[in-house]
Amino acid sequence: MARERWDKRQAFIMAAIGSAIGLGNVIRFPYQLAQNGGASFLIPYVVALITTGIPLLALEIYLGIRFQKGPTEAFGKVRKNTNFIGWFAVLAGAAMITFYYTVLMGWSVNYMAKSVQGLFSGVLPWSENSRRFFFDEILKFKETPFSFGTLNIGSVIGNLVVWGAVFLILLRGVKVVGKIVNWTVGIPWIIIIVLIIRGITLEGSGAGLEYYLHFDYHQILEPRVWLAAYGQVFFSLSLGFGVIIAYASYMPKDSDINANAWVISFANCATSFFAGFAIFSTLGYMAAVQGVSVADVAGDPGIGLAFVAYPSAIASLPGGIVTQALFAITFFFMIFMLGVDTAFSLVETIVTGLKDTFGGKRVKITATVCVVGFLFGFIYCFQNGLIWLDIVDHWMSWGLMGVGLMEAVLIGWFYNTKKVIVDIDSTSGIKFGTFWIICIKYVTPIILILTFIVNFVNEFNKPYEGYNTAALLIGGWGLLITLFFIALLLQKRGDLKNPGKLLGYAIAIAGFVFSANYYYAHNNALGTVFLIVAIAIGVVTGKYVKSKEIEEVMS
Amino acid sequence: MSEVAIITMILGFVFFIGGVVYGLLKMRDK
Repeated sequence: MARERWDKRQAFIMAAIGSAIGLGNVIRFPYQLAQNGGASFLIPYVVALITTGIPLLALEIYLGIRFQKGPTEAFGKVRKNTNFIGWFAVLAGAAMITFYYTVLMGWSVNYMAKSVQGLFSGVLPWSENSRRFFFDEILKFKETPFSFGTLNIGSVIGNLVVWGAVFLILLRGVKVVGKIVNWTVGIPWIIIIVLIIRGITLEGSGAGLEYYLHFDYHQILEPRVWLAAYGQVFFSLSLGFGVIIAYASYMPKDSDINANAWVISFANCATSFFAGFAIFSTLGYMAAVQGVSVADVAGDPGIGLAFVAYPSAIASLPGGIVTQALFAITFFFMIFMLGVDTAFSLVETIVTGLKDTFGGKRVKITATVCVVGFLFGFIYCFQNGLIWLDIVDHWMSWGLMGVGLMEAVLIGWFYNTKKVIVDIDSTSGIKFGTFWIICIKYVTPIILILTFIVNFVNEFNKPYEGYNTAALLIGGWGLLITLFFIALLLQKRGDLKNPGKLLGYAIAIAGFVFSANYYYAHNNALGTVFLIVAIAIGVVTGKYVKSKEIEEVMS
Repeated sequence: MSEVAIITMILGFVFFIGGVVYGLLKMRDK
C-alpha cells in the first residue's frame, strides 16, 4: 500500500512547528532567558540553535524522508540492530510524555470551565489566592507519593476531552492533521499578539520587560548558562521524540530538508521570544499593582506560571469580570491549542511506529493508543498526581537527550556523513556542507555528554525537588531504564520467548535501580562498580543461560 | 525600559522573523 502523504508540502512545516511549539515556549523559555542573563542569553541560545538545533532537526527530517519510515524502522535502515533507538524515542519520548501532557492540558480545560463559571458569578474563582486555588481546588493536592488519595474527577474529565480531540484529529491520518495544524498554530500566534498588545499597554509593563530583557553579559561566561541554552534548544524543537522522523516519513523523497529545518527552528524560537513579551509585560503590571518586584510575582518557571502567576495577573486586569473572564478563557484556550498539536504529534509518532513495524489499520491502532493513554493518565489524576507527573517529566528528559546523543553518534560515527550531507544539501537552497558534519560528529555529542555528566552529578547531590528517593527510583530511574530495555526487546522480539535473556534484562534493570539507590544514600563511586557488575551479570545471564535451565529451576 | 532592552527587542524581532522569511525564500519546493 502506498504511504500516506501530507496534503500539501507546507503542511509538514506547519505540523512540525505545531509539534515544536508547546507549553514550554510560553512557560519555560521566557524564564530561562530572564534567569540566565536576559538579553545576553540570546547569544548562547542562537549559537546552540545553529550548532545543535538546526543540524539535529535536519538529521531527523533526513531519516524520515530518506527511509520513508517512522522512528521504529528508520534507524535500522542506517545500521542493523539500532531500531531500539527509535523504540526508546517512542516509549520514553512520545508515549510517556503524552500520557502526562494530556492531563496537564486537561487542567487548562478545567480552568476554561471555571472562567465561564466566574463570568456568571461575577468573580474569577482564583482571584483571592491563585496558588491555593490551583493546588486545593483544581488538583486537591496531597504531597504523599505513596498515598494516592481520592480520584480527581475534574482532571479525568479534562484528560478525556483532550484524548477525544486527539483521537478525532488523528483518525483520518496526516491529510487531516495537515489542515488542523493551520488552526492549532495560527490561533495561538494571534492570541500571543493580543496578549502582547494588552500586556504592553498596562501600567508597569516596562519593568516586566526590563526584567525579561536586561543585559547581564557576565553570565555568558558561565558554563551553566551555555548548558541551559543547549538544553532549551534541544527540548524546544521536539528533538529526540521521534516526532520529526515520523512526520517527515510522510513527505516525498525529494523534499527540501535544510530549509524545512531552518524555518521550523526559527518559527519556534520566534514564538518563544515573543511569548516572553506577553508574559513579562503582564507580570510587570501585576508587580506594579502589588507594589513588589517582578521577580517576586514571577515565581518559579514551569506550570506555576500557567496555572498560578499568569491567572493571578489576569484576575487583577482592569475592566471588570467580563474582561478578566474573556482574557482567562483566551489564555487557557491558547494553552490548550499550544498543547494539542504537540500531543497529537506525539501520539501520531506512536501510531506511525506501531503501524510501520507491525502493520494494521490506522483507526484501530489510533483508538488503542488513545484508550491506553487515557487509562495511563489516571495515575496523574489522583491527589498526588502532580508529584508523579513532575518526576516522570524530569526523567523522560534524560531519555530525550539519550536519543539525541545516540542518533548523532550513529550518523556521525557509524554512517557516511559525507554522503548524507551531499544528499541533504542537494535538496535545498540552503547548504550546510562540512559545518553540519562538524556539528553532528563533534559539537552535539560533546555538548550532550557534558550535559549528561553535569546533570548526573547534580541529580545525586540532592534528590530531585527533595522527593522521597523510593518515588524517584520507581518513577524516575526505574521507569527510564525499564523503557530502555523494553525498547531493546521490541527490536529483538525473539528475546521475548527466551527466559534466559529476560532474566538478564531483569538483572540489569535491578542493578541500575540498586546503584541509583546506593548513590542517593552514599554518593560515592562504589555505585558505579555495582552498576557494572549488575550489567555484566545481566549480559552473561542473557547470553549463556539457556531457557531450558531456567525452566528446570522453575519446575 | 532601558535602551538595551529596546535594542534587543528590535534585533530579536528582525533576527527571528528574518530567519523564517529567509528559510521560506530559500525553500525549493514551495
